[in-house]
Amino acid sequence: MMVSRFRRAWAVETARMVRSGFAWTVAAVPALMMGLVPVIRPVIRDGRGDYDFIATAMTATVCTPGFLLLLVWMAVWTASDLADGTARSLLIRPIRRSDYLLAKYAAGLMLGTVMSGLALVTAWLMMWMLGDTTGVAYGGEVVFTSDQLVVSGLLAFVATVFALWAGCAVAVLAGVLTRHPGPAAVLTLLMWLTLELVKYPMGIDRWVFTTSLETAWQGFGDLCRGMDAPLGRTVVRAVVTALPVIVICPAVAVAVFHQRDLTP
Amino acid sequence: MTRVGVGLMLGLAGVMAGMAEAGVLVEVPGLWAGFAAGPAARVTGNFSHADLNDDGRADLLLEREAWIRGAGPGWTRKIPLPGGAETDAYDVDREGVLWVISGNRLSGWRLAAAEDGWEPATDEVSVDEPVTGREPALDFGCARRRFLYDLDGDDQDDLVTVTPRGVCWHRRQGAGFDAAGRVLTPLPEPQAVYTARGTLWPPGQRALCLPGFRFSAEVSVGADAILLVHGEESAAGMRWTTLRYPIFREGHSVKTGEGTRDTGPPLPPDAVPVWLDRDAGRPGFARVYREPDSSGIPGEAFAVCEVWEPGETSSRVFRRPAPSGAALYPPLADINRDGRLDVVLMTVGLARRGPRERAQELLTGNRLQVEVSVWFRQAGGYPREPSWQDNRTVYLDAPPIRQPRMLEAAARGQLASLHGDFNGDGRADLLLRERLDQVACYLCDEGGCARQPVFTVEVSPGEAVVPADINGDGLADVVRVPEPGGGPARVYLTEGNPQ
Repeated sequence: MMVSRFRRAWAVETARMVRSGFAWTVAAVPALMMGLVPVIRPVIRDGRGDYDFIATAMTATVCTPGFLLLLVWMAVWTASDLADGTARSLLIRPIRRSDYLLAKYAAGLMLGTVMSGLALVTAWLMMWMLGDTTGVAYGGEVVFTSDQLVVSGLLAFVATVFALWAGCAVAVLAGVLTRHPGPAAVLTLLMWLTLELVKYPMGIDRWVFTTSLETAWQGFGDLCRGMDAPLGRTVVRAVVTALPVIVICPAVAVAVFHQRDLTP
Repeated sequence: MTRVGVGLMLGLAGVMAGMAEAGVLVEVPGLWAGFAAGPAARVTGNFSHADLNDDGRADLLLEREAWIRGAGPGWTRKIPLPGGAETDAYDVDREGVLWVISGNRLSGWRLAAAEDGWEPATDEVSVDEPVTGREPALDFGCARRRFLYDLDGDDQDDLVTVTPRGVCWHRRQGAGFDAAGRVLTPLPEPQAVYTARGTLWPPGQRALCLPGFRFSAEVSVGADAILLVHGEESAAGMRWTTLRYPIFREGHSVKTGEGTRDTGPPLPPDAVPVWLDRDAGRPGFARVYREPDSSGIPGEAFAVCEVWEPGETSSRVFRRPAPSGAALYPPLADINRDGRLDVVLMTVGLARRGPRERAQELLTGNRLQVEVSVWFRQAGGYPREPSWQDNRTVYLDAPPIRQPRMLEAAARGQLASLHGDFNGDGRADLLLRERLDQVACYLCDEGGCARQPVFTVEVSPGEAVVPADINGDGLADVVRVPEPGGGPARVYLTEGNPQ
């Protein structure tokens, strides 16, 4: 019964997301930005593997612009439902507040996954069409095969997705706390900025989930340049740092949402 | 309870006894020490050791003084050296006689019984090397190096002279030397100066290089052979030739046999000869350089060490990320004292986490990563993967954007070293400047370095810190080299054991 209610709520939120132009923008912008990446990292057929193009492309498109778009969209989407009474009207149906909020969060997770997946596929296609998909050779010796790089690329993708999911959780919490789209976006960005500003001086950078975003692709890029990189450890760290945020922020958001007066 | 207490005290005492402690702090005026740059890794300095009073303990020879070591790690007496001219050189023979070498004149001095001065051990001796061969085209003036070495195997040190024309031998005769030397080996015509920083000769041989004159040949006088290594520039690169002259001994006579010539393939101009194995008959070659990265991201670069096995045309390449600006540490050193040169790539920089994270750390961070990768040389060469790798964090005194003093130290290559053996186990240990005012020593073995420091030393912000065995007890000491004009160098003398 509970699962059924959640599934219904999720279907509703997904349908609403698909109808949202802003969501399409979030999903498509990183993939569209791929067209500019060859300016900073040309990709040509010269017999040398171009997998590091993917590392550069994902870093340039998903890790900062895509991540910020997702944060803002998630916070605005959550807060606007509270501000314009949409949440109230949706809860007329037989679903609980927690189901509604978690369904919204799940839709955000899906959007983050689709956004980064679309960017990855686009980068891969560009490399496949314009560059070389050979492994890494240095000094006449094959250091990493193409298959190894594919697996490593997928590992980096997993680390990225976990960081995006954690970002979504923070944005949902900000949306619930503020109730208005503008302040929600500002609060989310401020939270991100503050975290980024203090994590290095406080020495907590390794335990902040946002660090995993670029670190994973840096590791993949190092592999593409013939350097050994502890990508497995990076993924584990990404999961370990993201999971508490993924659990705690929605839980706090649900608790706050339960107390909220939903009158617009 | 009493037994438990006593046991705990004894255990604690055992742990403390097992630790090498930077114990005695001594000021050593006139001492300087530093790292050699380039592939030949070693600690340089203006000091040497010799047992002058035959007590089995190495005494310290500085440019102007001899420091006599006592029963402990420190010294009990300081005695000015005889001679004293700027050009004087010193060497000590196996009987503890200090020879003052002033041009063609030598005088032997023995430490007085009261250890408060010097007594003449010999009359002044004049020697002259025979003039053979043609005058070198380049003017090397009175370029000459003399040192003591037993060439004829009679357990007495002879005098060996190396000039631009060749290697000469003056046999020991009683208290002096043969005045007329014998040319053992002519040197090739001195030519262009190559970029070799010095020599790293096999242990057990008398090392000799002529850095002051930048000869294009390096000479190694060993027990069985005299080796000459010299390079000639060509359009294809530097072509190195190894000349090996076997030494034949007949009674008290020494002759060198016909030289064998081994000319290698052309190599890059910055490759220098290095003795990869102690007993190798000919040198390998190595070079170190910074390779810009292909991704075009500023600051992304690699430290590359290339090593050519003797006679090989292809090189083995070792690469690690190394941001621009930070010094490249000397990558070749025998850190496990097995007579083979290991590759040690030590790089310093911000953590590799992507461009945005790097920018943030540049603006707000206060740490640098020191990465150490070691490839132990084995009988068949180097392993494919590093034998061990380690990452250490050092703390800056300000964010990198504000150019903290620690960043200057990093740029000069003074943050970390893997040269000194602090506990006498035969393996080099890691000396790391963790903060501007603190240096820590981590014991290392075949598997890596300990996580906890065995000792820490407070240092002044302007000082450079170098590990070097100053008191000759086989354990590295911590040399605190001040800024120019900043007073004498200070040395923490360590005591310890392999456990």
